[in-house]
Amino acid sequence: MNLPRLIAIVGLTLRDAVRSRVVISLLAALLLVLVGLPLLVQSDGTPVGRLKIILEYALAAAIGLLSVATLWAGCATMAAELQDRRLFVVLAKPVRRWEIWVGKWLGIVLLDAAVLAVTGLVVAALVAAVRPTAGSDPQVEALLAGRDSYRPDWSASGLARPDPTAGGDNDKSPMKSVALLPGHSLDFTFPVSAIAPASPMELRARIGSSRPNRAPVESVWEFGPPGKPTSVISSTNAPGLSMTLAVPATAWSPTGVHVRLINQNERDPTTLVLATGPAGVELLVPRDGFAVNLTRGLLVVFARLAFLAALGVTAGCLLSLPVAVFVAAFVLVLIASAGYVQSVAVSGMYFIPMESDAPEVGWLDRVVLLLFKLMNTVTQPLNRLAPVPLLADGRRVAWTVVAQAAVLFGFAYSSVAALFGLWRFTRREVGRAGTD
Amino acid sequence: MTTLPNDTPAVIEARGLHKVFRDFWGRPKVRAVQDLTLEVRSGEIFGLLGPNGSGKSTTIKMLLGLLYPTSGELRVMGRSPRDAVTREHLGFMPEESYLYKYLTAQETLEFYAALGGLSGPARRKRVDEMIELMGLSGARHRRVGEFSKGMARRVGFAQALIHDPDLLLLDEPTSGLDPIGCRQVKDLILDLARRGKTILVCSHHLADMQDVCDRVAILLDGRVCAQGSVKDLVRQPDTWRVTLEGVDAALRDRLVTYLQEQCGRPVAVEPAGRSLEALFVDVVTRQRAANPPP
Amino acid sequence: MTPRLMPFVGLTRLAFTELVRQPVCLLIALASVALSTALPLMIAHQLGQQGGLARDGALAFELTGGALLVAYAACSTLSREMRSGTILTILSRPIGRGTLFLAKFVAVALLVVLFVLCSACAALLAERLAPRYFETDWHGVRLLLVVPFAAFIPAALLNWRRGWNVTAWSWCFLVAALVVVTLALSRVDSEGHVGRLGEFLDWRLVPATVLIGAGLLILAAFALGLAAHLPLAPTVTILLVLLFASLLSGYLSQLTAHWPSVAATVRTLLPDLQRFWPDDDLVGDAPLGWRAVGLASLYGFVYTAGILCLGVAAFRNRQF
Repeated sequence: MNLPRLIAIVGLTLRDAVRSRVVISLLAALLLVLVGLPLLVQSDGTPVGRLKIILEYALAAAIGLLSVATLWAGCATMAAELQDRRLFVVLAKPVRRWEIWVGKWLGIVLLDAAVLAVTGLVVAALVAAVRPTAGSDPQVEALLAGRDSYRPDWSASGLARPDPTAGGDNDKSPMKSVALLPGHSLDFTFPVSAIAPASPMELRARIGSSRPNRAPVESVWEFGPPGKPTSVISSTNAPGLSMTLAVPATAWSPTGVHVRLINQNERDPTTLVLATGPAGVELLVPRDGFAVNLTRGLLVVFARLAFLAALGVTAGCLLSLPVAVFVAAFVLVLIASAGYVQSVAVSGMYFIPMESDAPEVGWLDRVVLLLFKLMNTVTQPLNRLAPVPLLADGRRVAWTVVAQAAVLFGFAYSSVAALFGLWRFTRREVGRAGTD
Repeated sequence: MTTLPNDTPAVIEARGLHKVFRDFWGRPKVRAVQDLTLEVRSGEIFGLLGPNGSGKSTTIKMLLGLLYPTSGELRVMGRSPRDAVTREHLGFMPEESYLYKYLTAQETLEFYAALGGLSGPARRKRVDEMIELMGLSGARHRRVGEFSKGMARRVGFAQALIHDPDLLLLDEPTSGLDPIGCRQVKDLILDLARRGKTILVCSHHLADMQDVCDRVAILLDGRVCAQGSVKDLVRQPDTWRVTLEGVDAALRDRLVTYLQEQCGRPVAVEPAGRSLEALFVDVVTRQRAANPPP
Repeated sequence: MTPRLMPFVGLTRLAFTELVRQPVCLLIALASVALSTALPLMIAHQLGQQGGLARDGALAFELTGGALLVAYAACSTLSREMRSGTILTILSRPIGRGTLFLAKFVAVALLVVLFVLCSACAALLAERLAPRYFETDWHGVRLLLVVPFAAFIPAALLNWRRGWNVTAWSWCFLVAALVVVTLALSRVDSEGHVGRLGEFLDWRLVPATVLIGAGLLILAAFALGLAAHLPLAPTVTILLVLLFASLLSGYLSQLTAHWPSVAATVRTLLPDLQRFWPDDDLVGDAPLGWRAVGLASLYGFVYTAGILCLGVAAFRNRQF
């Protein structure tokens, strides 16, 4: 590899993008989206509501815009230069085709890094503008803290009764809920090894009831070592809906956060049902500040953009500009549909049969389901490694997630795109009249 | 023009070269080059002539590795044209100036110099030399997208020479240039050949080709239908042109009569004059000297 | 044909021929049709409203796909010609710039007509294939899957035998195949009962898609005006922003309620594309008459004419 040649191609890509006003237009569009969308979309007026708009909508829209722009830039930098033959003169130099591909890809990736940095700064500035005085609004602080999620260690809780509706062998099937009779209590522990001093935690739970109507149910939560609770909170809430409780830092001990849930509905006997599955009870513990969490989230986005850049450059090597953009956009839509693809692949159905009939699964359905399963193997990591929902919910984007994103998108997926693109580009005749 | 000894090494060797363009279904659509055999020797200026569609550009693209021969053998400096090392000693000037319009002339040449393997002070020095040579000093910091066609062609030529290649492929080098520019390009081509460069030129301007080329090949429908040194190809056997200076009309008439009697056939007499190009260059040069531009 | 009309017709024919030979135009139309007809397969679109969700989705794809199509077509037919310089060979003839601009618009409009035809069939099929709650007509789906093959295989054969352009002929066969399948499924219901021709389709969707098509012509006029000065990416971006701002014009007016003059300007300048969105009219069994389509089209015609006048004026002053 000749480094000066590579640097020359990277420099050309950057200069072209800057001087053709692509970068400035993109920055203007991003600013419009980041600042304009929170003004357009009405929130509930509270700081938390406004922050959620910024993190959930504006940031997501900005990342979407950047993804499309990266794809476009990748396609254009190769396809346009092949089409108007500027690349012929470059190819006449002692430059290898893979050096051209890598140089163009690196140029776009560096541009993405710069634009993403600006995006991060703008988001941080918007958040700082909306945020009340530090520490004055616990809900805002909870949203902006990077929090880890903990689930109870049910194996240590001997009082748990398996859900009779779980079906199948209760030892093997995951427990989805725990029933609590009136007057009974349930002890469980969140295995939290350490917390930052004086930082409040948040408990989220969903409690159902045996009442036929939807009247609110009472529950009592004791936090702290069994028998010596440091905090007792009574809660009344509608059954089936998610509830949150602020858990003081004093509830923590070196053995974790112990919780006792007491069903005090004895006068009006009601069985409480505590959801314990993936959407069930969890404890959110603050770990990092917003800036660090946002940076990690943007690093995950950066890895995805690197993959999109590779996809765009590969498509641009092989197809004319508009067709390359179309194909790359189709892949982007596929990536955006990762959730739907996963639901079909896991459930094995993309239709709901009429209740009285067994599903009619013909050869066509088998082919389609196989396609969905194959797509899911590619898109499932993309679904898993999305940082915006985490940021919008005040959850920590872990370094492991960043590492996974870097390895998967930045390395594995990008390499596949690169290898395919290079394999075709090095074999392609670029001098054919009328098509190049 | 020079005549090279037959044992001069060949820089370009093509034997039985075929190039067939196929349609989507794999059927032959155009036979652009058919059984092309030619050799370009080191230090010579070789012209590739032919009407539109004769296969000249296809041949050049195959030499650059942009197109791949369907069959036959093609070697450039002893290597396959697809080998990147081959292009370290090769410079290409395309028919149109395919330049990056957002770069200045200086940045364009620096970019191509970097691709050619030059770095640091050597690159800067070489870029300055090329800018001076091509008369682009006044426009070095202007964007190439704003250049006229002639200026863009100069930049195109400069990038071909930037890394001092041993072999130059020039596709219509005088296209878009005024007669003074054409004369400068031809002088430059001759100068490069004197310095030992090998040059392959494609052009429709036959007068220019006749002025500079040592040998030419004429292509038609992808085949070589004539090949050899320019002098040998254009010579008509037993036909001579005599230039007489300081001869008045009476003496001229007596000489013509004598020659006709000796040859037994009519003798054509015309007043000798300059070419239109020479006249143009002379007029413009004198005018510029008398009224230099501000 | 009068001599004055001949250049106009010639330019329109040339521009239209070039557009139907663009693979991307066909791909956009195909994607719009495919997504519309795939909706009945997706679980979410079987939840209620007897095919209504599938229908509304198909109409939405027509609108957004159509916006992309007109933006690309306008740039392809004008912006690219200006950049490559081929437009100079036309302008060097005794042809007015207004004639050229309008000929390009008519060519784009003809492409919109083809697209609307495909979208009408797609919308009819989308609703037909999701007839009742939690049900997809799988026999109809199997028939529908024949359409891409019926579109591309004959075109490929023609290209192989006679060298005819595969993209242009694919358009022809795609439209023909969609019409044939639509008519076939209009006679048979999801349980296989055969009825009259057209009995099992909601024919209100035809004026509905034509209504949207009329709205697309407004966007086409905007796109052409933009394409005369901007390349593809900014044209598409501005057009999509305009589309969404037009659809949200009521909401934007509310936001600017404190500044009446701004609100009035927003309402006046932005095209009221909500007139061309028939969704509310299709709820229940209420008819959607051609009169409503005509009135909206009249508004569209006047608005489009205004935009075209501005476009021609700007194009006349364009220097090359």
